[in-house]
Amino acid sequence: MFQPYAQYVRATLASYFAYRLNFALWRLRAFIQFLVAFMVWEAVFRSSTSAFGYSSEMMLTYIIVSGFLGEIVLSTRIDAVAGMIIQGDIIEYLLKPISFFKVYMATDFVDKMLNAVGAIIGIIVVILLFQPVLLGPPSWLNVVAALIFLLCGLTITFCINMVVSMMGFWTHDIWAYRFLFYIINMVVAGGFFPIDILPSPVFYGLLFTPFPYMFYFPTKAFLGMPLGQMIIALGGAVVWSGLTIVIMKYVWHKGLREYSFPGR
Amino acid sequence: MFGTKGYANIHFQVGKVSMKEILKQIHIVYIFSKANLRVMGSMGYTIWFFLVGKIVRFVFFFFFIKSLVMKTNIMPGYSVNEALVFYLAFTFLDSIVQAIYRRVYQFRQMVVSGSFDLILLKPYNPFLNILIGGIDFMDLILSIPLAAILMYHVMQVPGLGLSNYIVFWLMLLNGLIIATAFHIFVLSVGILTTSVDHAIMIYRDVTSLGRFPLDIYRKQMRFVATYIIPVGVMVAFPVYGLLDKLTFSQYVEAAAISIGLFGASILLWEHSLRYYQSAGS
Repeated sequence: MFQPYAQYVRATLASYFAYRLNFALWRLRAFIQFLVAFMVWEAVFRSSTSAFGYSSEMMLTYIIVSGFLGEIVLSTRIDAVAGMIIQGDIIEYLLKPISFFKVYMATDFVDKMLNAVGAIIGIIVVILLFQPVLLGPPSWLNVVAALIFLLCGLTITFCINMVVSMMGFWTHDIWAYRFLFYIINMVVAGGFFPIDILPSPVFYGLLFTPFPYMFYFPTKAFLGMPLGQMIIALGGAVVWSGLTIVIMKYVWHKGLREYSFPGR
Repeated sequence: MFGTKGYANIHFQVGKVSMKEILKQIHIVYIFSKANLRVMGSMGYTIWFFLVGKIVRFVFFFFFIKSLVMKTNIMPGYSVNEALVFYLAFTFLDSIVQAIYRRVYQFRQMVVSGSFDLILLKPYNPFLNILIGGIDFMDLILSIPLAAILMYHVMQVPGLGLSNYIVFWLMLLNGLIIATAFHIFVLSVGILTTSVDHAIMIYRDVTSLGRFPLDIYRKQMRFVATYIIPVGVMVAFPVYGLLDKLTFSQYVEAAAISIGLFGASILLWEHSLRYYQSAGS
Protein backbone atom coordinates (compact mmCIF):
# COMPACT_ATOMS: atom_id res chain seq x y z
CA MET A 1 0.00 0.00 0.00
CA PHE A 2 2.85 2.36 0.81
CA GLN A 3 5.23 1.01 -1.84
CA PRO A 4 4.38 3.66 -4.48
CA TYR A 5 4.85 6.45 -1.95
CA ALA A 6 8.15 4.95 -0.79
CA GLN A 7 9.34 5.34 -4.39
CA TYR A 8 8.50 9.03 -4.22
CA VAL A 9 10.46 9.30 -0.98
CA ARG A 10 13.50 7.70 -2.62
CA ALA A 11 13.21 9.86 -5.75
CA THR A 12 12.82 13.07 -3.72
CA LEU A 13 15.84 12.21 -1.61
CA ALA A 14 17.92 11.53 -4.74
CA SER A 15 16.82 14.82 -6.32
CA TYR A 16 18.18 16.81 -3.39
CA PHE A 17 21.65 15.37 -3.84
CA ALA A 18 21.67 15.69 -7.62
CA TYR A 19 22.68 19.35 -7.29
CA ARG A 20 24.99 19.35 -4.31
CA LEU A 21 25.96 23.04 -4.43
CA ASN A 22 22.30 23.98 -4.54
CA PHE A 23 21.73 21.76 -1.51
CA ALA A 24 24.66 23.33 0.36
CA LEU A 25 23.53 26.90 -0.42
CA TRP A 26 20.00 26.05 0.68
CA ARG A 27 21.26 24.77 4.04
CA LEU A 28 23.62 27.75 4.40
CA ARG A 29 20.73 30.11 3.83
CA ALA A 30 18.58 28.39 6.48
CA PHE A 31 21.51 28.57 8.92
CA ILE A 32 22.09 32.28 8.27
CA GLN A 33 18.41 33.10 8.87
CA PHE A 34 18.49 31.25 12.17
CA LEU A 35 21.84 32.78 13.14
CA VAL A 36 20.64 36.36 12.50
CA ALA A 37 17.57 35.89 14.74
CA PHE A 38 19.70 34.24 17.46
CA MET A 39 22.36 36.98 17.35
CA VAL A 40 19.79 39.74 17.82
CA TRP A 41 18.37 38.14 20.97
CA GLU A 42 21.82 37.19 22.22
CA ALA A 43 22.74 40.86 21.89
CA VAL A 44 19.62 41.86 23.86
CA PHE A 45 20.55 39.60 26.77
CA ARG A 46 24.22 40.55 26.80
CA SER A 47 23.08 43.83 28.34
CA SER A 48 19.84 42.80 30.07
CA THR A 49 18.92 39.90 32.35
CA SER A 50 15.32 39.87 31.20
CA ALA A 51 13.20 41.31 28.43
CA PHE A 52 9.46 41.14 27.72
CA GLY A 53 9.00 38.83 30.69
CA TYR A 54 11.54 36.31 29.41
CA SER A 55 14.89 35.49 30.95
CA SER A 56 17.95 34.99 28.76
CA GLU A 57 17.73 31.20 29.12
CA MET A 58 14.02 31.13 28.29
CA MET A 59 14.28 33.39 25.22
CA LEU A 60 17.37 31.78 23.72
CA THR A 61 15.90 28.34 24.28
CA TYR A 62 12.70 29.55 22.64
CA ILE A 63 14.59 30.87 19.60
CA ILE A 64 16.49 27.59 19.22
CA VAL A 65 13.48 25.30 19.68
CA SER A 66 11.19 27.44 17.50
CA GLY A 67 13.95 27.63 14.89
CA PHE A 68 14.15 23.84 14.85
CA LEU A 69 10.38 23.30 14.81
CA GLY A 70 9.88 26.09 12.29
CA GLU A 71 12.32 24.37 9.90
CA ILE A 72 10.26 21.20 10.13
CA VAL A 73 6.81 22.79 9.96
CA LEU A 74 7.37 25.47 7.32
CA SER A 75 9.55 23.53 4.89
CA THR A 76 7.56 22.15 2.01
CA ARG A 77 7.66 20.99 -1.59
CA ILE A 78 4.05 21.96 -2.12
CA ASP A 79 4.97 25.27 -3.78
CA ALA A 80 5.69 23.22 -6.92
CA VAL A 81 2.02 22.16 -7.08
CA ALA A 82 0.96 25.55 -8.44
CA GLY A 83 3.29 25.23 -11.41
CA MET A 84 2.08 21.70 -12.04
CA ILE A 85 -1.52 22.88 -12.11
CA ILE A 86 -0.78 25.80 -14.43
CA GLN A 87 1.25 23.71 -16.87
CA GLY A 88 -1.09 20.72 -16.75
CA ASP A 89 1.47 18.29 -15.29
CA ILE A 90 -0.93 17.50 -12.45
CA ILE A 91 -2.93 15.32 -14.85
CA GLU A 92 -0.22 12.67 -14.51
CA TYR A 93 -1.04 12.33 -10.82
CA LEU A 94 -4.78 12.46 -11.34
CA LEU A 95 -4.66 9.57 -13.83
CA LYS A 96 -2.56 7.35 -11.59
CA PRO A 97 -4.17 5.08 -8.94
CA ILE A 98 -2.44 6.95 -6.12
CA SER A 99 -3.49 9.74 -3.80
CA PHE A 100 -2.12 13.12 -4.85
CA PHE A 101 -2.07 14.31 -1.26
CA LYS A 102 -0.22 11.23 -0.05
CA VAL A 103 2.42 11.77 -2.75
CA TYR A 104 3.04 15.23 -1.40
CA MET A 105 2.99 14.04 2.16
CA ALA A 106 5.75 11.62 1.16
CA THR A 107 7.85 14.26 -0.58
CA ASP A 108 7.26 16.73 2.25
CA PHE A 109 8.39 14.04 4.71
CA VAL A 110 11.79 13.92 2.98
CA ASP A 111 12.04 17.70 2.84
CA LYS A 112 11.20 18.03 6.52
CA MET A 113 13.65 15.32 7.57
CA LEU A 114 16.47 16.99 5.65
CA ASN A 115 15.54 20.33 7.17
CA ALA A 116 15.46 18.77 10.63
CA VAL A 117 18.95 17.30 10.21
CA GLY A 118 20.24 20.61 8.82
CA ALA A 119 18.61 22.52 11.67
CA ILE A 120 20.21 20.24 14.27
CA ILE A 121 23.64 20.81 12.73
CA GLY A 122 23.02 24.57 12.70
CA ILE A 123 21.90 24.53 16.33
CA ILE A 124 25.00 22.59 17.36
CA VAL A 125 27.20 25.17 15.59
CA VAL A 126 25.39 28.05 17.31
CA ILE A 127 25.65 26.37 20.73
CA LEU A 128 29.37 25.78 20.20
CA LEU A 129 29.91 29.39 19.07
CA PHE A 130 27.81 31.21 21.64
CA GLN A 131 27.59 28.63 24.49
CA PRO A 132 24.21 29.86 25.67
CA VAL A 133 22.58 28.56 28.83
CA LEU A 134 19.49 26.66 27.74
CA LEU A 135 16.48 25.14 29.44
CA GLY A 136 15.03 21.69 28.98
CA PRO A 137 11.38 20.62 29.13
CA PRO A 138 10.02 20.49 32.70
CA SER A 139 8.72 16.94 32.21
CA TRP A 140 8.15 14.24 29.60
CA LEU A 141 4.49 15.32 29.44
CA ASN A 142 5.67 18.58 27.86
CA VAL A 143 7.49 16.62 25.18
CA VAL A 144 4.35 14.59 24.45
CA ALA A 145 2.24 17.74 24.33
CA ALA A 146 4.76 19.39 22.02
CA LEU A 147 4.60 16.39 19.68
CA ILE A 148 0.81 16.55 19.56
CA PHE A 149 0.95 20.30 18.87
CA LEU A 150 3.60 19.62 16.23
CA LEU A 151 1.35 17.11 14.49
CA CYS A 152 -1.44 19.70 14.39
CA GLY A 153 1.01 22.33 13.15
CA LEU A 154 2.20 20.05 10.37
CA THR A 155 -1.39 19.39 9.34
CA ILE A 156 -2.28 23.09 9.34
CA THR A 157 0.73 24.17 7.28
CA PHE A 158 0.30 21.28 4.83
CA CYS A 159 -3.30 22.23 4.20
CA ILE A 160 -2.67 25.99 3.97
CA ASN A 161 0.27 25.45 1.60
CA MET A 162 -1.93 23.21 -0.54
CA VAL A 163 -4.71 25.81 -0.63
CA VAL A 164 -2.25 28.55 -1.62
CA SER A 165 -0.85 26.36 -4.41
CA MET A 166 -4.34 25.41 -5.55
CA MET A 167 -4.93 29.05 -6.43
CA GLY A 168 -3.22 27.87 -9.60
CA PHE A 169 -6.61 26.54 -10.69
CA TRP A 170 -7.77 30.12 -11.07
CA THR A 171 -4.72 32.37 -11.51
CA HIS A 172 -1.12 32.28 -12.73
CA ASP A 173 0.04 34.82 -10.15
CA ILE A 174 0.66 32.36 -7.32
CA TRP A 175 3.76 34.03 -6.02
CA ALA A 176 1.68 36.97 -4.72
CA TYR A 177 -0.33 34.67 -2.41
CA ARG A 178 2.76 32.74 -1.37
CA PHE A 179 4.68 35.93 -0.64
CA LEU A 180 1.89 37.25 1.58
CA PHE A 181 1.67 33.89 3.38
CA TYR A 182 5.43 33.94 3.92
CA ILE A 183 5.34 37.48 5.33
CA ILE A 184 2.42 36.69 7.67
CA ASN A 185 4.27 33.60 8.88
CA MET A 186 7.40 35.63 9.53
CA VAL A 187 5.46 38.19 11.55
CA VAL A 188 2.92 36.22 13.58
CA ALA A 189 3.92 32.56 13.63
CA GLY A 190 6.46 33.11 16.40
CA GLY A 191 9.73 32.49 14.59
CA PHE A 192 11.51 35.76 15.31
CA PHE A 193 10.03 36.19 18.80
CA PRO A 194 7.42 34.53 21.02
CA ILE A 195 4.13 36.14 20.10
CA ASP A 196 3.04 36.49 23.73
CA ILE A 197 5.34 39.55 23.95
CA LEU A 198 2.88 41.36 21.69
CA PRO A 199 0.20 43.55 23.31
CA SER A 200 -2.53 41.37 24.83
CA PRO A 201 -5.32 42.33 22.36
CA VAL A 202 -3.04 41.46 19.45
CA PHE A 203 -1.91 38.19 21.04
CA TYR A 204 -5.43 37.03 21.88
CA GLY A 205 -6.63 38.09 18.44
CA LEU A 206 -3.92 35.95 16.85
CA LEU A 207 -5.20 32.91 18.75
CA PHE A 208 -8.22 32.98 16.45
CA THR A 209 -5.91 32.48 13.45
CA PRO A 210 -4.06 29.27 12.55
CA PHE A 211 -0.58 30.81 12.68
CA PRO A 212 0.26 30.45 16.40
CA TYR A 213 -0.52 26.73 16.18
CA MET A 214 2.16 26.12 13.56
CA PHE A 215 5.23 26.18 15.79
CA TYR A 216 4.66 28.80 18.53
CA PHE A 217 2.47 26.51 20.65
CA PRO A 218 4.61 23.41 20.03
CA THR A 219 7.58 25.43 21.31
CA LYS A 220 5.72 26.80 24.31
CA ALA A 221 4.39 23.35 25.17
CA PHE A 222 7.94 22.00 25.07
CA LEU A 223 9.24 24.78 27.32
CA GLY A 224 6.33 24.55 29.74
CA MET A 225 2.80 25.97 29.80
CA PRO A 226 0.11 25.96 32.49
CA LEU A 227 -2.10 22.90 31.99
CA GLY A 228 -5.29 24.92 31.52
CA GLN A 229 -3.73 27.08 28.79
CA MET A 230 -2.30 24.00 27.13
CA ILE A 231 -5.68 22.28 26.95
CA ILE A 232 -7.34 25.37 25.47
CA ALA A 233 -4.52 25.82 22.96
CA LEU A 234 -4.71 22.15 22.05
CA GLY A 235 -8.40 22.57 21.39
CA GLY A 236 -7.62 25.47 19.07
CA ALA A 237 -4.95 23.44 17.28
CA VAL A 238 -7.33 20.51 16.71
CA VAL A 239 -10.11 22.82 15.49
CA TRP A 240 -7.78 24.56 13.03
CA SER A 241 -6.38 21.22 11.85
CA GLY A 242 -9.89 20.00 11.06
CA LEU A 243 -10.93 23.29 9.52
CA THR A 244 -7.91 23.51 7.22
CA ILE A 245 -8.44 19.91 6.08
CA VAL A 246 -12.06 20.70 5.19
CA ILE A 247 -11.08 23.89 3.37
CA MET A 248 -8.30 22.11 1.47
CA LYS A 249 -10.65 19.36 0.29
CA TYR A 250 -13.31 21.89 -0.69
CA VAL A 251 -10.85 23.99 -2.72
CA TRP A 252 -9.41 20.85 -4.33
CA HIS A 253 -12.78 19.56 -5.51
CA LYS A 254 -13.92 23.00 -6.65
CA GLY A 255 -10.66 23.50 -8.52
CA LEU A 256 -10.84 20.13 -10.26
CA ARG A 257 -14.41 20.82 -11.41
CA GLU A 258 -13.36 24.12 -12.99
CA TYR A 259 -9.93 22.99 -14.18
CA SER A 260 -8.82 23.19 -17.78
CA PHE A 261 -5.40 23.48 -19.37
CA PRO A 262 -3.79 23.40 -22.82
CA GLY A 263 -3.63 19.89 -24.25
CA ARG A 264 -0.63 17.63 -23.66
CA MET B 1 40.33 52.36 -15.91
CA PHE B 2 38.89 48.89 -16.12
CA GLY B 3 39.35 48.70 -19.85
CA THR B 4 39.41 45.14 -21.08
CA LYS B 5 38.92 43.14 -24.16
CA GLY B 6 36.51 40.44 -23.38
CA TYR B 7 33.34 38.63 -23.94
CA ALA B 8 31.30 41.04 -21.84
CA ASN B 9 32.49 44.06 -23.81
CA ILE B 10 32.67 46.14 -20.68
CA HIS B 11 34.69 49.24 -21.27
CA PHE B 12 34.99 51.75 -18.47
CA GLN B 13 37.74 53.76 -20.04
CA VAL B 14 37.80 57.23 -18.59
CA GLY B 15 37.46 59.89 -21.28
CA LYS B 16 36.23 57.49 -23.98
CA VAL B 17 32.61 56.96 -22.87
CA SER B 18 30.61 59.19 -25.16
CA MET B 19 27.42 60.95 -24.17
CA LYS B 20 25.71 59.28 -27.13
CA GLU B 21 26.59 55.85 -25.74
CA ILE B 22 25.34 56.79 -22.28
CA LEU B 23 22.06 58.10 -23.67
CA LYS B 24 21.64 54.92 -25.72
CA GLN B 25 22.03 52.78 -22.60
CA ILE B 26 19.62 54.93 -20.65
CA HIS B 27 17.14 54.57 -23.49
CA ILE B 28 17.52 50.76 -23.38
CA VAL B 29 16.82 50.76 -19.63
CA TYR B 30 13.82 53.01 -20.32
CA ILE B 31 12.45 50.49 -22.84
CA PHE B 32 12.89 47.63 -20.37
CA SER B 33 11.25 49.71 -17.65
CA LYS B 34 8.22 50.43 -19.84
CA ALA B 35 7.86 46.68 -20.42
CA ASN B 36 8.08 46.08 -16.66
CA LEU B 37 5.37 48.66 -16.10
CA ARG B 38 3.09 46.83 -18.53
CA VAL B 39 3.76 43.54 -16.76
CA MET B 40 2.95 45.19 -13.45
CA GLY B 41 -0.26 46.56 -14.92
CA SER B 42 -1.28 43.12 -16.13
CA MET B 43 -0.96 41.66 -12.63
CA GLY B 44 -4.30 43.12 -11.63
CA TYR B 45 -5.33 42.80 -7.99
CA THR B 46 -2.44 40.45 -7.08
CA ILE B 47 -0.10 43.43 -7.02
CA TRP B 48 -1.85 44.52 -3.84
CA PHE B 49 -0.74 41.29 -2.14
CA PHE B 50 2.89 42.24 -2.79
CA LEU B 51 2.37 45.80 -1.61
CA VAL B 52 0.50 44.73 1.51
CA GLY B 53 3.15 42.11 2.27
CA LYS B 54 6.01 44.59 1.96
CA ILE B 55 4.18 47.20 4.04
CA VAL B 56 3.32 44.63 6.73
CA ARG B 57 6.96 43.51 6.89
CA PHE B 58 8.20 47.09 7.16
CA VAL B 59 5.69 48.10 9.85
CA PHE B 60 6.36 44.91 11.83
CA PHE B 61 10.12 45.43 11.99
CA PHE B 62 9.67 49.18 12.63
CA PHE B 63 7.62 48.60 15.77
CA PHE B 64 9.62 45.53 16.79
CA ILE B 65 12.91 47.45 16.72
CA LYS B 66 11.31 50.47 18.41
CA SER B 67 9.98 48.21 21.15
CA LEU B 68 13.31 46.38 21.52
CA VAL B 69 15.26 49.61 21.90
CA MET B 70 12.74 51.18 24.30
CA LYS B 71 12.38 48.13 26.57
CA THR B 72 15.90 46.68 26.52
CA ASN B 73 19.46 47.93 26.53
CA ILE B 74 20.34 46.42 23.17
CA MET B 75 21.74 49.68 21.76
CA PRO B 76 23.48 51.64 24.49
CA GLY B 77 24.58 55.04 23.31
CA TYR B 78 21.83 55.34 20.70
CA SER B 79 18.45 56.97 21.07
CA VAL B 80 15.28 55.27 19.84
CA ASN B 81 15.21 57.67 16.89
CA GLU B 82 18.81 56.88 15.95
CA ALA B 83 18.06 53.15 16.13
CA LEU B 84 15.15 53.66 13.78
CA VAL B 85 17.39 55.62 11.39
CA PHE B 86 19.60 52.51 11.09
CA TYR B 87 16.58 50.38 10.25
CA LEU B 88 15.10 52.96 7.85
CA ALA B 89 18.40 53.48 6.05
CA PHE B 90 18.73 49.70 5.62
CA THR B 91 15.16 49.38 4.35
CA PHE B 92 15.48 52.34 1.96
CA LEU B 93 18.75 51.09 0.47
CA ASP B 94 17.34 47.57 0.21
CA SER B 95 14.26 48.90 -1.56
CA ILE B 96 16.33 50.92 -4.06
CA VAL B 97 18.59 47.94 -4.74
CA GLN B 98 15.62 45.67 -5.38
CA ALA B 99 14.00 48.30 -7.60
CA ILE B 100 17.12 48.47 -9.78
CA TYR B 101 18.35 44.88 -9.69
CA ARG B 102 15.13 42.83 -9.61
CA ARG B 103 16.08 41.18 -12.90
CA VAL B 104 18.86 39.19 -11.22
CA TYR B 105 16.19 36.96 -9.66
CA GLN B 106 15.24 35.78 -13.16
CA PHE B 107 18.79 35.08 -14.35
CA ARG B 108 18.80 31.37 -13.55
CA GLN B 109 15.92 30.74 -15.92
CA MET B 110 17.76 32.60 -18.69
CA VAL B 111 20.83 30.41 -18.22
CA VAL B 112 19.05 27.04 -18.06
CA SER B 113 16.76 27.88 -20.99
CA GLY B 114 19.57 29.21 -23.18
CA SER B 115 17.98 32.62 -23.69
CA PHE B 116 21.08 34.16 -22.12
CA ASP B 117 22.87 33.47 -25.43
CA LEU B 118 20.49 35.82 -27.20
CA ILE B 119 21.26 38.54 -24.66
CA LEU B 120 25.01 38.14 -25.15
CA LEU B 121 24.52 38.55 -28.89
CA LYS B 122 22.78 41.90 -28.54
CA PRO B 123 24.77 45.08 -29.29
CA TYR B 124 24.58 46.42 -25.77
CA ASN B 125 26.11 45.65 -22.41
CA PRO B 126 24.42 42.46 -21.12
CA PHE B 127 24.26 43.97 -17.62
CA LEU B 128 21.56 46.32 -18.92
CA ASN B 129 19.33 43.26 -19.31
CA ILE B 130 20.42 40.68 -16.76
CA LEU B 131 21.44 43.04 -13.95
CA ILE B 132 19.08 46.00 -14.34
CA GLY B 133 16.50 44.82 -16.90
CA GLY B 134 14.25 47.78 -16.22
CA ILE B 135 13.08 49.33 -12.98
CA ASP B 136 10.80 47.44 -10.60
CA PHE B 137 8.15 50.10 -10.10
CA MET B 138 6.61 48.44 -7.08
CA ASP B 139 9.80 48.83 -5.07
CA LEU B 140 10.40 52.25 -6.57
CA ILE B 141 6.95 53.43 -5.50
CA LEU B 142 7.54 52.12 -1.97
CA SER B 143 10.95 53.83 -1.87
CA ILE B 144 9.30 57.26 -2.00
CA PRO B 145 7.41 57.10 1.31
CA LEU B 146 10.40 55.21 2.77
CA ALA B 147 12.67 58.11 1.83
CA ALA B 148 10.22 60.56 3.41
CA ILE B 149 10.02 58.55 6.66
CA LEU B 150 13.80 58.17 6.68
CA MET B 151 14.41 61.91 6.24
CA TYR B 152 11.80 62.71 8.88
CA HIS B 153 13.65 60.59 11.43
CA VAL B 154 17.05 61.83 10.26
CA MET B 155 15.94 65.42 10.84
CA GLN B 156 14.91 64.48 14.41
CA VAL B 157 18.56 63.69 15.19
CA PRO B 158 19.95 66.76 16.95
CA GLY B 159 23.13 68.56 15.95
CA LEU B 160 23.31 67.58 12.29
CA GLY B 161 24.66 69.97 9.67
CA LEU B 162 24.74 69.99 5.88
CA SER B 163 28.00 68.05 5.87
CA ASN B 164 26.33 65.20 7.83
CA TYR B 165 23.59 64.93 5.25
CA ILE B 166 26.10 64.98 2.35
CA VAL B 167 28.19 62.28 3.99
CA PHE B 168 25.06 60.20 4.62
CA TRP B 169 23.95 60.23 1.00
CA LEU B 170 27.48 59.67 -0.31
CA MET B 171 27.85 56.64 1.94
CA LEU B 172 24.48 55.35 0.76
CA LEU B 173 25.81 55.67 -2.77
CA ASN B 174 28.89 53.76 -1.64
CA GLY B 175 26.55 51.10 -0.27
CA LEU B 176 24.79 50.94 -3.61
CA ILE B 177 28.13 50.20 -5.30
CA ILE B 178 28.72 47.33 -2.85
CA ALA B 179 25.23 46.01 -3.52
CA THR B 180 25.92 46.19 -7.27
CA ALA B 181 29.08 44.19 -6.76
CA PHE B 182 27.18 41.55 -4.76
CA HIS B 183 24.60 41.21 -7.50
CA ILE B 184 27.30 40.81 -10.16
CA PHE B 185 28.88 38.13 -7.96
CA VAL B 186 25.51 36.36 -7.88
CA LEU B 187 25.26 36.54 -11.68
CA SER B 188 28.75 35.07 -11.99
CA VAL B 189 27.84 32.26 -9.60
CA GLY B 190 24.71 31.74 -11.66
CA ILE B 191 26.76 31.15 -14.81
CA LEU B 192 29.20 28.79 -13.10
CA THR B 193 26.64 26.82 -11.10
CA THR B 194 23.06 27.98 -12.02
CA SER B 195 22.52 28.49 -8.28
CA VAL B 196 21.14 32.03 -8.35
CA ASP B 197 18.08 31.77 -6.15
CA HIS B 198 19.82 30.64 -2.99
CA ALA B 199 22.82 32.92 -3.61
CA ILE B 200 20.70 36.05 -3.92
CA MET B 201 18.62 35.12 -0.87
CA ILE B 202 21.80 34.52 1.15
CA TYR B 203 22.81 38.07 0.19
CA ARG B 204 19.39 39.32 1.40
CA ASP B 205 19.63 37.40 4.67
CA VAL B 206 23.19 38.56 5.39
CA THR B 207 22.36 42.20 4.67
CA SER B 208 19.49 41.94 7.18
CA LEU B 209 22.22 42.17 9.82
CA GLY B 210 22.19 45.86 8.90
CA ARG B 211 18.77 46.39 10.50
CA PHE B 212 20.77 47.09 13.65
CA PRO B 213 24.05 48.95 14.11
CA LEU B 214 27.08 46.66 14.07
CA ASP B 215 27.85 47.60 17.68
CA ILE B 216 25.25 45.16 18.99
CA TYR B 217 26.99 42.15 17.50
CA ARG B 218 30.03 40.41 18.88
CA LYS B 219 33.48 41.61 17.84
CA GLN B 220 34.05 38.66 15.51
CA MET B 221 30.76 39.23 13.71
CA ARG B 222 31.50 42.97 13.44
CA PHE B 223 34.80 42.10 11.74
CA VAL B 224 33.10 39.67 9.34
CA ALA B 225 30.34 42.16 8.55
CA THR B 226 32.85 44.95 7.86
CA TYR B 227 35.79 43.33 6.11
CA ILE B 228 34.78 39.84 4.93
CA ILE B 229 31.17 40.32 3.77
CA PRO B 230 31.00 44.13 4.02
CA VAL B 231 27.28 44.46 4.61
CA GLY B 232 28.12 46.68 7.57
CA VAL B 233 29.91 49.11 5.25
CA MET B 234 26.94 48.93 2.93
CA VAL B 235 24.07 49.62 5.34
CA ALA B 236 25.46 50.76 8.70
CA PHE B 237 28.32 53.05 7.65
CA PRO B 238 25.97 55.65 6.09
CA VAL B 239 24.30 56.16 9.46
CA TYR B 240 27.62 56.09 11.30
CA GLY B 241 28.75 58.83 8.92
CA LEU B 242 25.55 60.79 9.55
CA LEU B 243 26.19 60.59 13.32
CA ASP B 244 29.88 61.56 12.96
CA LYS B 245 31.01 58.17 14.28
CA LEU B 246 33.47 57.40 11.50
CA THR B 247 37.12 58.38 11.30
CA PHE B 248 38.80 59.55 8.11
CA SER B 249 40.55 56.19 7.70
CA GLN B 250 37.18 54.43 7.91
CA TYR B 251 35.85 56.58 5.07
CA VAL B 252 38.90 55.63 3.02
CA GLU B 253 38.41 51.94 3.93
CA ALA B 254 34.75 52.11 2.91
CA ALA B 255 35.62 53.59 -0.48
CA ALA B 256 38.43 51.08 -0.99
CA ILE B 257 36.14 48.18 -0.08
CA SER B 258 33.42 49.27 -2.49
CA ILE B 259 35.82 49.93 -5.38
CA GLY B 260 37.77 46.75 -4.70
CA LEU B 261 34.64 44.63 -4.42
CA PHE B 262 33.20 46.10 -7.61
CA GLY B 263 36.43 45.47 -9.48
CA ALA B 264 36.60 41.90 -8.17
CA SER B 265 33.01 41.27 -9.23
CA ILE B 266 33.75 42.43 -12.78
CA LEU B 267 36.82 40.18 -12.94
CA LEU B 268 34.79 37.20 -11.69
CA TRP B 269 32.09 37.98 -14.22
CA GLU B 270 34.57 37.97 -17.11
CA HIS B 271 36.11 34.78 -15.76
CA SER B 272 32.72 33.09 -15.50
CA LEU B 273 31.80 34.03 -19.07
CA ARG B 274 34.81 32.06 -20.30
CA TYR B 275 33.27 28.97 -18.70
CA TYR B 276 29.74 29.60 -19.91
CA GLN B 277 28.27 26.65 -21.74
CA SER B 278 25.07 27.44 -23.44
CA ALA B 279 22.08 25.18 -22.87
CA GLY B 280 21.17 25.76 -26.49
CA SER B 281 18.69 28.29 -27.78
